[in-house]
Amino acid sequence: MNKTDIILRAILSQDLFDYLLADKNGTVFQFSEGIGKYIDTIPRAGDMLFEYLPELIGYEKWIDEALKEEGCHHTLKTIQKQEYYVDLHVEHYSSDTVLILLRDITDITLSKLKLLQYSNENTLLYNTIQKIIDSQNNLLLITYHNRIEYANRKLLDYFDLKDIQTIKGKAFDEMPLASLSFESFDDLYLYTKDREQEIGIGKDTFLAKATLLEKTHKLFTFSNVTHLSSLNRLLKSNINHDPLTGIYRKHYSDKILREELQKQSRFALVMLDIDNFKHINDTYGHMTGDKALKELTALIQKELNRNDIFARWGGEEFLILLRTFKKEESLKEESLKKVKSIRASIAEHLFSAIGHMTASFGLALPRHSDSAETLFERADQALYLAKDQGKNRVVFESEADRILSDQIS
Amino acid sequence: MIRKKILLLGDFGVGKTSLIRRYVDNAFDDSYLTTIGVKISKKHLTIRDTECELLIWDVEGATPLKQVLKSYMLGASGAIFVADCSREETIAHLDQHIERFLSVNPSARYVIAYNKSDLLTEEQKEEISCKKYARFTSAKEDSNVSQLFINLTEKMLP
Ligand SMILES: Nc1nc2c(ncn2[C@@H]2O[C@H](COP(=O)(O)OP(=O)(O)O)[C@@H](O)[C@H]2O)c(=O)[nH]1
Ligand SMILES: [Mg+2]
Repeated sequence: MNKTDIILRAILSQDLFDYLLADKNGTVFQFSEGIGKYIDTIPRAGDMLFEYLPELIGYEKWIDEALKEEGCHHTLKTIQKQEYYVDLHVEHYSSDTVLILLRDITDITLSKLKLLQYSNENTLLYNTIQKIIDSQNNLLLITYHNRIEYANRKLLDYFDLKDIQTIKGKAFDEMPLASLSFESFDDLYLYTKDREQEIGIGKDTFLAKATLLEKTHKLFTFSNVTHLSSLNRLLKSNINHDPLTGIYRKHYSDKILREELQKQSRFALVMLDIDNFKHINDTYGHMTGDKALKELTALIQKELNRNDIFARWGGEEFLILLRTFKKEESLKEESLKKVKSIRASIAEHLFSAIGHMTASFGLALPRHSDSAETLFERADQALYLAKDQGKNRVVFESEADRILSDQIS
Repeated sequence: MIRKKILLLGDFGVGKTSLIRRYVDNAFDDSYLTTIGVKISKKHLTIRDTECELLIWDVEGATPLKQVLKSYMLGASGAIFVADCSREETIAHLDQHIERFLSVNPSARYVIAYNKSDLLTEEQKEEISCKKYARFTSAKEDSNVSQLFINLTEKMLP
């Protein structure tokens, strides 16, 4: 296409092309009528090219080349001029004239803009959703033929996988999950579809739950609760345990006692109180008193079974629920034997700093008609009598009945 | 009078158009209108008794599939690289943009804007380790915007 053709075309299709001719010094000496709409002044011959098209500042090399070389052609695409978009062509016209063509591309650019706007907004939205997905629990998406389709960042990181490509399309046994005691994804699905289930992966504990997506895909979520559950355990133990001795607190043993009564289990209730503990505290001080309490609880714990409940009730008052019995022996015989042995081991023990220390015991067995309160009352009465009769002894409830009625009559 | 061409470069949606709008017209708009192609604005300023005219190129932001045309960068004396400090990936992409620009204009000067600083708390800002020549800006709250342009201009002056 020679220069005349270009100009001709430019003039003939004025809606598409406008042109400017400028000399070596950048002075505009000729232009098409339509140029005016792209600039904010009324164009006149003698104006400077860079005033109309500051976009060309920095492209002086292009203009020099266009002056020198026939057929030379450069384009600056999609320039916004006022409310129009144009492509700017810098072309050779003659050795002392450069031709600038402005091609109006407003319509097509506005359609492109709509698409770009739509796609950019979607990219932003997609990024946000991706971030939400990655911040969630470990996610694993499985196709209907039990192949891995997707795993989020968290899950990949947990298994030290670089990206999804390393496991995409793989089956259950090709995944680190294979260490689980499940046969297949179907197996895992059946186990976790109705409610969250605790499962162990390596050293960690996860809550796993499956959801069916679109009837074909299974989505598994795994939330790592390893730290949570140990925290839970810690919290629970703080609530239920006496900070000094480490044994249970009253409210916990009360709860267990009520449950045992409800279940009508075989157990025995022992209440014990250290003899003259106030005197020990007054003589040796509270620090020594506390130490003695710790020594005493450790001593008693050694005598008890894992299943028995041992709790601190108040300052120097304790409670034991004996829950371990051999079937053949009578409840009374066995528990008396156990409590007497505890009493003896305390009485024989040399406590540091204070030497000997004793305790009194009241023992009661649950009856069908018992509430926690009536049972406590009988054990407490027995303890009272043990104290009354000279301390350092064990009193069983029926003896208490007898002794009391003796005293009344 | 000295004329300097500068560009704002960075991912789309980081606030390039908004920074220019704030600097040139002292205005801001919350809605997002994508830029297509390029649009230039002019701004006069005087630095150390030197009068300058900045030709500020607002170019279409880079997308994952489309880089900014190198032809737009010809003859530029400086650039402002913009990231959205609430979107980590736009910060990560800064190096690519800088490299691409310097390959066209090796001797050009540049500054970096971590824009939309109004979206972050002071603690969150501290967590971001800023690059050399970088500062937090907010086109929305007009924070550090003119300083950004002035700082670049100072660097470009002989
Ligand atoms: N909060 C906040 N939003 C901003 C700021 N700058 C720009 N935006 C918003 O971010 C979006 C994209 O801004 P825009 O200037 O079009 O970004 P560009 O694609 O880089 O030109 C728009 O919705 C702006 O309102 C800022 O400093 N703070
Ligand atoms: Mg923009």
